[in-house]
Amino acid sequence: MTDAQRPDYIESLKPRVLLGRGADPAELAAPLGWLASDGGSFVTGQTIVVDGGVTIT
Amino acid sequence: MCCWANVQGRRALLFGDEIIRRLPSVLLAAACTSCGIADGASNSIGQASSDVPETLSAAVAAAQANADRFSSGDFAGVWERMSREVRDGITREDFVTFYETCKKTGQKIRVAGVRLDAGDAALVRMEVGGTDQSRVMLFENGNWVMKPTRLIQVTPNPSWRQTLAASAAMKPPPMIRWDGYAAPPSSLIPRKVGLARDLAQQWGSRKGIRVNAIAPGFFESQ
Repeated sequence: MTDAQRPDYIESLKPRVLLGRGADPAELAAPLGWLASDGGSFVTGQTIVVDGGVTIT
Repeated sequence: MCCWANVQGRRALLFGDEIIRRLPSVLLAAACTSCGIADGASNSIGQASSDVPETLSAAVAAAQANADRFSSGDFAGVWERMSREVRDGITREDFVTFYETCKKTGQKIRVAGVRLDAGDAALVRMEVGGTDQSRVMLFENGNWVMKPTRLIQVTPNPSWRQTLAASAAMKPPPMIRWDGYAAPPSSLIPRKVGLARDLAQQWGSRKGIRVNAIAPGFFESQ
């Protein structure tokens, strides 16, 4: 994929995201930080989906 | 799965490679050196072995030796031959604890080639379970040592006892700048769920390690 094609491709992905945009990496850091903190100390074997609603649309 | 440890296992996160790359504040990393037996080596990619500089042969030999150490369970020996960033980032004890917990020995690895990547680095190609993988060997202090596939490290809360595992997540080939681990969600999410549950059961009962996963959607990466 060329640089010229890439923006179009990214735009084509957005309709699949319920929130209409891609995530900022910081938005993934928050749940990661929680899992790693004492607040997540009794959580195991779980998968937390952080995808802006892709999997529910 | 590609995994590694920083620390002293009680809790584990499981997440994709790109996330790790973009989250320097989140500890860990991946020294993903597959365990197994190096059962042979040629010395070049696309050129006769006699043309390969001797130092590249040494890099292949070092990679093979590290694979042999993995296969024999000599994880302390592996730690000693990892690059400095690994040895500075994790103690030998923690390194051994992690690999004893999560690595299966005996996987067959064939060192299939090498090329000089820079003056002090060589890219070693390995055939592992029918697939090609690569490792970077660095020339440090007169020896070829293995570079981790990924390493991000920050000093964590000293009370944390956690291990992070980096999954080799699927990524559609055209997605260069953007990564979409949630795509296709139909196959990726169940894999992550299954892996997290399996590892939680295996590691939780044996080592008291907690394993969780993050399944991200589209996000911008570099």
